[in-house]
Amino acid sequence: MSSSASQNPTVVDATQLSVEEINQRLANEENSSKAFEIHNCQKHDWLGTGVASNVPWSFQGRLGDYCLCAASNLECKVDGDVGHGFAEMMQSGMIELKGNAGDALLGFGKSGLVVVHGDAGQRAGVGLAGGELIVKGSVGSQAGFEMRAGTIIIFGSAGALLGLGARGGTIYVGGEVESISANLEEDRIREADRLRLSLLLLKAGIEKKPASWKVFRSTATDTKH
Amino acid sequence: MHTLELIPRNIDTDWKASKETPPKNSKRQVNSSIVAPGFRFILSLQRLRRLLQLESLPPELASRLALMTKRFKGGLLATSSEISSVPIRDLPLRIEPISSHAMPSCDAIESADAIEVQLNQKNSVRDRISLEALKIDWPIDTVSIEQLGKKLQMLQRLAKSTIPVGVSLPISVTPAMVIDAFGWLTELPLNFVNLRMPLACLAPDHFARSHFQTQPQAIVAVLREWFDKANKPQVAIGVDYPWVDGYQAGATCAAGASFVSIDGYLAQRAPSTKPSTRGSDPLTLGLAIAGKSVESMIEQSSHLTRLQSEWDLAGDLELFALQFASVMDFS
Repeated sequence: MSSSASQNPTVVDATQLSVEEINQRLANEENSSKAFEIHNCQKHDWLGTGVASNVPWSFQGRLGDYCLCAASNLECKVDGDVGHGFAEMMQSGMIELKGNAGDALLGFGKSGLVVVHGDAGQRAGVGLAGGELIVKGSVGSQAGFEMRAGTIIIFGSAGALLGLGARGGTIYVGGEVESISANLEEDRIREADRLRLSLLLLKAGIEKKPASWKVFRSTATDTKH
Repeated sequence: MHTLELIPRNIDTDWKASKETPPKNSKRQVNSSIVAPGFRFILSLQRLRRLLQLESLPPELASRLALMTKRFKGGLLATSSEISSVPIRDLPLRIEPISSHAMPSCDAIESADAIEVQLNQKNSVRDRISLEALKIDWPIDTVSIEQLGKKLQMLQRLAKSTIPVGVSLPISVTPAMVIDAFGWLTELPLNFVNLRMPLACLAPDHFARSHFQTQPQAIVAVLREWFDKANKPQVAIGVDYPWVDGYQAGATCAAGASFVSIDGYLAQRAPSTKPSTRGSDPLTLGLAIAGKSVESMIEQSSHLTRLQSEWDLAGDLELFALQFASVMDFS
């Protein structure tokens, strides 16, 4: 992640704050030139819905369900676990999650990059429409469910029915795959794949990678939704 | 989708006057009184005319409708394009085709007029957002009630305003089974529930088919009772059903429905030069056509252009409306 943060970021302690109060603070910070940090998140739901920022934001603590949904232009770090629906409908930007994620991670993402250092639950990247998802751990079943475009990179293992209903996009898996759906087929890794992987991992600041990748593509000939 | 829409009579909806300015009443007023006894009968004459592809409405139908609107202290509903100019928050519900190619965007969400989550029994998920409405399909078997509720609230927050939220339910079960399957509905922050009757997916000899054919009001009554018990009488219930006649639709409204769709009713009367598409089951045909929108079918299918010459839709509609009105008179 780039470092355009101010030397003295604005820090807010979320211990005693409600979701509305935190979101109001986030809204106030959208046009700020100073980096913004929220400490001690207490599993709040719906944090940062539809937010946009040009400076780095940071969350520490556990986030609840449907946080940072439809976010735009974010450069954000989350130091903790997150619940279901994290970064759903993401519009642009980059989010780095140090912990684990629940179900439907980056669901229906339009663009942008989400990097998860831990594991993700079921249906990671559901309905993905152009974003990019990197999970350094493993994912649950039905990852890439109904995805239409974009990229999912899984360092660990993938659960059952990988890519169920997928009509586009590419899924790379470094570990084992429990089962793939009929909507995907394994393909040989090509030079374009290597280039794409290298660029994405470079962007995510990830150096260590699996010894080999399996690549899966949709069997749909028409990838338009 | 074409609907006969019922709006409480205490709402001032002079639609001609409201073309430039939305109705005075707020959404809160609409929602709070949506199930109030006594409805206002509103039928889109222009929409009907377009549907029938008539240059002008037959005088007898126009006068009949005028009489009915007077009886129900109602006014004239605008065309669908005029409806589009009115924020949906001022209507109990607008059911319009959703653009399937529109992709999610913040701008679209902020200007969305309604959120409708469509629960499907098959294993598919689609998020579709257009400038006019936001619609989400979820498979019933993979979504938890808690997740769904939180997602709805997230979308509400994303819209940055209070907009109606609804669930569209496929009803292919008996009323008793509805209770088991959808009892959690009352836990959601809903403004409306739209019942879809996907009879086309049922085999012709399926026991539920004959049940629905005679008792759609039973399911509505169950739902209405739930919402009343949950202290949520403001939740509007719509029914999309291939009505046998207007009496059936009227009885369903009397049982607690707030509006009914007449697509299925009309489509069942569609002529077809293709026996394979018409088949032997009018219900299946009705839903198949309704699913594609009668309007688009008129534009796209040459055989439906025979509507105006061979099919007395106006007469069917008038009869439907009269039957409907007679039930409402006595309810």
